[in-house]
Amino acid sequence: MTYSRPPGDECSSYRSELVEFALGTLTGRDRARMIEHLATCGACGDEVASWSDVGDALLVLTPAIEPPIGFEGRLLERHFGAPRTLRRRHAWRPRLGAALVASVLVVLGLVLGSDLSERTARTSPPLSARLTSQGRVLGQVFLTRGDPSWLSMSVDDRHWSGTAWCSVRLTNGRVEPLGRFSIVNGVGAWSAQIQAGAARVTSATISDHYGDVLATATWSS
Amino acid sequence: MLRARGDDGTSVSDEALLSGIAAGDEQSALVFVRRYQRRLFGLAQTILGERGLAEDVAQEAFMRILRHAAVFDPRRGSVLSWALTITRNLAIDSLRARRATPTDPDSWIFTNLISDTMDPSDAVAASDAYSPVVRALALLPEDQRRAVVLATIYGRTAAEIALAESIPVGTAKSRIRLGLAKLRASVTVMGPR
Repeated sequence: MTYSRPPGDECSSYRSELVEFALGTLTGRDRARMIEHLATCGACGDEVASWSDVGDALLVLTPAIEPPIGFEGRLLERHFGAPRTLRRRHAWRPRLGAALVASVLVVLGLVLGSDLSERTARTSPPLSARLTSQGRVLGQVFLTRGDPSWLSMSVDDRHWSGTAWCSVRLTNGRVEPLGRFSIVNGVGAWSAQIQAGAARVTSATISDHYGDVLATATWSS
Repeated sequence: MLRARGDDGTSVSDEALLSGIAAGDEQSALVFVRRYQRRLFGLAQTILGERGLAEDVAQEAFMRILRHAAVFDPRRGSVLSWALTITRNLAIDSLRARRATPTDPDSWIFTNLISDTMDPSDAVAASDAYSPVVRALALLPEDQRRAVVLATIYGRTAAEIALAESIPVGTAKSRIRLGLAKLRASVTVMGPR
């Protein structure tokens, strides 16, 4: 791009508005008049392009901020329609990784449950439930009964990235927050103690920044 | 921090991703969205100051990019600039439709970009390639810096800046133009896009 040739004298009436036009702040008839002029004036066009470059460079300085969880999923479903099977090379790797991490967490929960609970006679096998959203299975949740009790969760859904808030609902209807977790490129796994005890848990939920429920796992009894 | 190509675990160029998107490839769209969602959402949030509204704008910006991927012209600038410009224009349209006040004086971008003590190394999005712009911005007189940031990022017209700053419209125009002229030199030094 060249900036060497300034607008000619015939362009003087437009010169003061080139910057505003380049920044997109020129409106109405002034904007229409400018567009008509630029259609025939390369010098003013170059000038506008150079101002636009400056504006672009400043936009790049704005901070990158993590969007709400579920952002990419909502976007892709909106664009492509119903969710599709991911055509991803080595797509099994994150799933396998999540499964392994979840298994480790479940085992860890069992071990901790038994090691830390000499007050309890035995640790029962974990109760598992599917983590679902609108009929889709997005992960697995395990409840390890004991004192203390543990909840382990794994998520594998390509639509999600970001921070999720996890909570459990108890038999008396009370909701007990467990903590905040990260889902990276659709994969996340975590484990947390349940102070109220696994026997009192009826469901586990993950929510986004706004508190909107993303997925739920329910135990029938 | 500016997300360099490949930070999302792929080495596919932006242009190749847009070609894939234009051909209807969902995987290309997914990689593209993951590469730039933080940048587009960040800009929308900076301008609008509200997460819900910023998400709507960033979603709409991505929808336009995905729909019009085939018409992207690399001769007119980088994919990132194109995407940010679309986002900025939608955010400003949204502000005007709501007749909202666009600038929160306490917002990160405004405070940092107009501060006389701004440290270029603290500019969140400034990669080495853009540090000349940050330095040039830091060297501007504060009144010019305010006018430039209000016009370029928040889409304020000269008349709106004049009203907000209690100055004549001509003075507002001069501040924008003088400030941008100094920044333009640094952009030119950066070389071709």
